[in-house]
Amino acid sequence: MSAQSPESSSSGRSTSGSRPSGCPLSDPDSSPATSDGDSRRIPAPVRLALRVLVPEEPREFLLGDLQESSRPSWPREIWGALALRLTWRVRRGRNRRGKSPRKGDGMVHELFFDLRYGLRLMLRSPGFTLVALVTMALGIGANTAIFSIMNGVILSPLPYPESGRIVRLWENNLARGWGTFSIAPLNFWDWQERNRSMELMAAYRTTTVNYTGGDRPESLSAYRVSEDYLTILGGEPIRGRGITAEDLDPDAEPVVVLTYGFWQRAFGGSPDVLERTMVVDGIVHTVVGVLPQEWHPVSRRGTDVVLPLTPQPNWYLFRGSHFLHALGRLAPGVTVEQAQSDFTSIAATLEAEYPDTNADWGATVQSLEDVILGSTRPQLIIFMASVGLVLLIACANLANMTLARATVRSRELAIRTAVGAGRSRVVRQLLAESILLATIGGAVGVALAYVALDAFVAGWPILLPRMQDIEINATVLLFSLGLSLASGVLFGLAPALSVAGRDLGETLRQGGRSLAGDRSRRWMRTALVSGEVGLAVVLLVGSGLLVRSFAALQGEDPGFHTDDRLVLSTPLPRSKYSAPEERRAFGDAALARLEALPGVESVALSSLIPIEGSDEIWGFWLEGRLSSDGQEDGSALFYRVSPGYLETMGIPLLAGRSITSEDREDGRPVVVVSSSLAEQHFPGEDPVGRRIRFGGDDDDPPVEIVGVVGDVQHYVLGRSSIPQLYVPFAQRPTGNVHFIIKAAVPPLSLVEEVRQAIESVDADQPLVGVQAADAMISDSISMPRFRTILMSGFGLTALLLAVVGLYGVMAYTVSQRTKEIGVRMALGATRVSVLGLVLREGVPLVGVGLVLGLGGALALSRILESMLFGVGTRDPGVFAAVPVVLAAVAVTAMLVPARRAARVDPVRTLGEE
Amino acid sequence: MAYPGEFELLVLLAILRLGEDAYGVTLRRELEKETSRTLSLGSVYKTLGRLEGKGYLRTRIAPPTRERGGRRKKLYDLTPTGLEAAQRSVADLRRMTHGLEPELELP
Repeated sequence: MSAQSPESSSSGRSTSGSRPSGCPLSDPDSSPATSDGDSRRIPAPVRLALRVLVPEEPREFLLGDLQESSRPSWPREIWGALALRLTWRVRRGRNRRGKSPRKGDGMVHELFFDLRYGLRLMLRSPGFTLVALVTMALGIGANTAIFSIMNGVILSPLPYPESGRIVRLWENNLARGWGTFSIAPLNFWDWQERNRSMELMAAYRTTTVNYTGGDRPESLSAYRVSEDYLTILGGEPIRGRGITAEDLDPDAEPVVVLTYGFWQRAFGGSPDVLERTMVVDGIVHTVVGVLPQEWHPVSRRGTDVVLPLTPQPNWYLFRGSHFLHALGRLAPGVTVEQAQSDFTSIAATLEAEYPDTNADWGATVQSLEDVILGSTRPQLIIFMASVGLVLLIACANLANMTLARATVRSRELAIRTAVGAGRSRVVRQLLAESILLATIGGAVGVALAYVALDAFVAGWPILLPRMQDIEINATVLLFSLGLSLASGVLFGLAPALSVAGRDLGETLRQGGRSLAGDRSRRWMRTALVSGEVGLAVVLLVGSGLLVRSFAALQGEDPGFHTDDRLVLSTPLPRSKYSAPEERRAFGDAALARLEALPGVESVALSSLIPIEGSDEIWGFWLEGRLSSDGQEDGSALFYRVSPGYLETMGIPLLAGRSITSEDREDGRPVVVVSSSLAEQHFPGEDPVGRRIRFGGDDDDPPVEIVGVVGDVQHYVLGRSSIPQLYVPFAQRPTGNVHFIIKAAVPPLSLVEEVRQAIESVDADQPLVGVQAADAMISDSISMPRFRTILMSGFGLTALLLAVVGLYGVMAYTVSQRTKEIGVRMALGATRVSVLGLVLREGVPLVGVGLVLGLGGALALSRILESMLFGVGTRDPGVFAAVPVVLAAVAVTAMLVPARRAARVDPVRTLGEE
Repeated sequence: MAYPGEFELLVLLAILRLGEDAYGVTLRRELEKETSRTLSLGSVYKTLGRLEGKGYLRTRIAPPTRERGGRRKKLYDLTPTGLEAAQRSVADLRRMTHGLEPELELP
């Protein structure tokens, strides 16, 4: 420390960034280093960040210190610099008087003034303020809510590592119209061996397993997966390990991996869970791992446990049964299209090698994103566009109101201009006011959206994929802020410009009043109202189409009765019920117990229940027409039912007989077919007495058709279904056991007795999916219902806003023309003619809006096509009804001010001035 | 008369310990070593700035050196006010801890 001049800290000397060369006391030996030295140790981005963050005064010293430090932690330093920036306020009695105001200070000051002034104005006209705030809050709130759904569901990346490279693999059979179909194991293994486009592939099945050992037997949702499944989906266990290739060995010890939720629920999150076992389907499994909390499989419902997908012996025998799902991770640099062509050529080779089983079977590669979001994306985009239109209408409305107010204030503004405010200054002030309104409204809107989203996610938990990712986060808030600012500008700018653009001398001379308002402003107001009406028509047509479609869907006959019926299932685990006799015995015993319950009118068992979700499809051959290429003649849903199923479901018998108690396991194999199958394969013939086979060879005995029944809608209401076959459960028992109970009492009141009845047969059997059949149907159309409600809400809001806007313009016009009307009436105009005068002004506004709106609706309604059922995109009913309703409402809105005009007292009006 | 805050007192003491050589790097090193905290330079400078504002510190500028990339350094020293404040705080601390040694497990 030799040559240093003590620098008093209170001297106010500026040390701002001056290079050391300027220092008179610099040591000749340590001359300023080159900029090389500068960049040698502090990385450029850090240096830049520090330059920005660190206040000017200590900057040089701090950077120097950093350079001198050994191995600093840059993130911590940047964080520290940020803290420094935020708290840096050294005051050392520096002479502040000499400080000239910084550039921009004036603007900032002005902005604060404008905001304060705006706030005072808002408080002074509470009516306008309230309407504007409510309008903005609803508009921004609705947009925020829909945007956060969009952001969580389709904009943010899927929660899997490198999700862009994950694909879903399917088989397809385009000849039969199946674009995506489950995969036969042998095909899957061949794909795995031959493909060159995948880094990893994994097969899986979703299933339910019975878990015993908890409070009561419970049915768990389970994934059976091959070894790379968890790797592809990023399921890195937080405890223990995942499923390995060894676990898939049929001789391996049974293991289970728990999801976080199930670990918490069943094991209380116990840390020693890895040493525990659990009984799954009657077999003791060792718990080997726990998955992270945020991990969930590719499905809306999640899962409880993950088990190894152990191949069964029969998987190796037949290439024709398709039941595996599969995922893949694309090799680096490979596109979905390239993978698709790779798999297509593999499938073609397999087709040539195994023509019996693989004819017409191809392969489909779909990006995971398309699989998950395929049908959701267009719907959400339509919601977003619609809610955007609603906001646009709201802005138009507010612009109109602001315009009207601007006229009232034109005198104030003219005076401001006269005393020296520039035009841009006035515009800025008006804009500040509207932006203030929009932002406050937006903040309220975000709060509303928060509440609404909570209710939405709680009330419709599996309506959309990825609902757990819906949240109001920084992105959403930024969107809402941007939207608020944009809205403020949108509804503030036009009025501001129109006011600022006026001739102030004229304004002052007119005393702030004109006969019918300024012409350009009038034009703007009418254009705004017409635009509002047009947009409202577009939204109303859209919601009208959806309402009609939903009504059609609700009126759709499912083909069976749902009233007073209870459905439930109790899957029989293969391990415990491996023999057909055991399943049969369970079915018989359970049916007997259930039948005996008071309140049960009739009960039946079936392997499938329509609409409930599961399916089983079998191919069949018609006897006597064995096709030469070995291809089956048709395929149908394969229901295995107890006697009385068709009666209990209320499915009408059209010919022959039903399945009866005579159809025992040792009896003649019989089948009942649905009418569409009969029409398709026995046109003009009586199918009763004809025989079909399940299986292409002669080993499988022929089955006689004994009856024809009505069709049911198996998958989704309103979508054409596959024909159905009904075989006696006794002849082909399965573990997929559903019961349908027709009750003489409210069906849900039976649940406890039913549970006891099932437990009395097998205490380990859980009850799954207990619900009233009515509710099952109603749940199945919850998405159409949701979008109908949502879009109707948008449509009605649009209508309301447009009508309010129209009313506002008409009322304003009338108030401006009171004097003129008074003159006219004094000169002999009748009330009717005055009424006509006002209507003549409003009707063209509405007419133009209607025409524009109908044109827009015609052009746009096609995008709704995929959501419509039983109604065309240009449904004449809707296109006729919307203008009629709108015109009626609009005329009503106009009549109020028109009547006021007609009541004008000419004497008083003229005497006013 | 204002009292220095806890960390401010530590910084004042560190400056005293370092004598002629108290600046950012040495101060941080001293504080990290003796108080087993992890500090960023920014947080050290934050406190230095505050102490300076209270009139506790005076500073000197040392010429640039090569190892600092040609930047100067600012050396800190206590003003009489600063020294007095430190004295008072330490004296208070001593009085308050007197007799509490077993309880606080102090030597």
